[in-house]
Amino acid sequence: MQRYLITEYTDASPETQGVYDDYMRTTGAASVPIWLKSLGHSAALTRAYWERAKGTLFSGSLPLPLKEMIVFIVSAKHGARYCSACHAQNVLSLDKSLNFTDLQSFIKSDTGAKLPTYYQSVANFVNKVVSDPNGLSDEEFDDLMDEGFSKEEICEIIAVIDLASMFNVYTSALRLDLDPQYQAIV
Amino acid sequence: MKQNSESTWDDRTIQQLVSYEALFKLIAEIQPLEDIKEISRQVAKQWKYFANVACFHLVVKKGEIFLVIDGFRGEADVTEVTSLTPWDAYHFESQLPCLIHMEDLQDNPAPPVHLMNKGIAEIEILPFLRLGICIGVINIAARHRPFDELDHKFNRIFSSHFTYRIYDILLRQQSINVLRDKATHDALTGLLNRGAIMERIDTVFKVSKRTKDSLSVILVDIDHFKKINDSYGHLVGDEVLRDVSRRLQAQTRDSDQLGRYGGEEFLFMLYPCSSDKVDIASERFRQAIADHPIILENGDPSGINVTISLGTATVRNSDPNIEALLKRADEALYYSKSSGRNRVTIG
Repeated sequence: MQRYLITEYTDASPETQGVYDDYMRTTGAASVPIWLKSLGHSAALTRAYWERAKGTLFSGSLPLPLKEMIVFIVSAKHGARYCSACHAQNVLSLDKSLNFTDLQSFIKSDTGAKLPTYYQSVANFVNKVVSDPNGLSDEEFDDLMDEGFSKEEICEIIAVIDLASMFNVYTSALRLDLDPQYQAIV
Repeated sequence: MKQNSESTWDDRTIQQLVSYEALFKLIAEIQPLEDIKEISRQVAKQWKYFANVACFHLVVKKGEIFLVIDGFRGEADVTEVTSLTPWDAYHFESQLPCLIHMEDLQDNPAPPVHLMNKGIAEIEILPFLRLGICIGVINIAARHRPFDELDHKFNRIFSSHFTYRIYDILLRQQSINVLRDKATHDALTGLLNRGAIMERIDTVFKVSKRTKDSLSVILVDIDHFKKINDSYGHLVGDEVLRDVSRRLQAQTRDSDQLGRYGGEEFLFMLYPCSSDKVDIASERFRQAIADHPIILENGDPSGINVTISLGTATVRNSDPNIEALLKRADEALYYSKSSGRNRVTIG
């Protein structure tokens, strides 16, 4: 049973269309993804989810590839099929030598990839926050700060983790189908 | 997992392109900034995005002193020091770039503490020269693993940009301060010039109207100054002006201002200072000059006896502007002169 409704661009209200347009303008995408179209029946929800995603992923100090990795790790840990597939593509493009099975190592916090060293520290931190946010210690914060991250940047990392968790719940509960461009990943 | 340690330009990954983008983004972001603390903060946050740099320590010459910028944990600390630590002094002196692995680090001299945090693999030290003089030295710390070839390239490009940018901002600030000083101060006495003291009084006048705190002014004129010039010459006249200025300046509080108003005239601004306090202050100024003769260089050891006449005025509610205030002070000064000089008249 399909658990969600899809509101295509032509059927959307003018306000929803405005959000769809902003999404395409901001991301450079030629079409609106399924997750956004599944909210299109409510202009308020469409705007709320998009504004949160835009404010978290497309602003701030953290580089976008780092945010993509964070979203991927969180999504994979939560078993969120839709989000993992979306963001796996972006993570793979970080290093041509990576392949899909290598992505597993991100989740286990032993990347070994030829990526900046801070990726490892961030991956460790993300894994801890996802598994046990209440158990996060000052020492774990210190490790990230020793890497060169300011408190503002760590706050942004946690905001990305939180955003990913929100989308994981939404996309998994509704069992959203994958957009065509991400199906090959799975 | 495949690793290609001898990658060519064609094999550059998106991550490396991301590093280039991060480098240019930081350079573009700090370019319009003049605030050294803000520039340093951005550098402390963003350097790790294009090279394996966990923290840095930059020392730049600022005239006779040094500016020290420490970047770590995404924040920057900017301080001025008058003398260098043994570590910094050594590297300023040697003017040689070097790479120190942590296992080879000696105890003496010791690097800054934050460069020895856990996980630091090595420290690269780069000096920067201008016209043969070392103007800055930067220390950059690598975390977890030594710097690779790309790290070295980015570090050299950015270190050079960062150090010279800071140095040029300091030079510009110094030049502006010198020009501002020349524009607002009297060259002979070092006091504020007429324009500057009037501007200060005008600003405080407006504040005093709002706050109701009393503002007082004192006009001071050296008695028989023309006679001093005619008798001893203009060089002695200049010496007298300098000495009187020094003595009057020594009597001012931090909140007061003193300027050279005319040839042998001075103008005090005292704030806050009520009418009952201004006569006490004026008498103190008069005594500072009258009680001790001015001893000239290469002159008569008994010195020249110099006196001053003073006229005061305190702001009234009815004063529309500072001209009204100064007019009363001027009239009071005139009365001091015509009554025998070497005295204070309250306006």
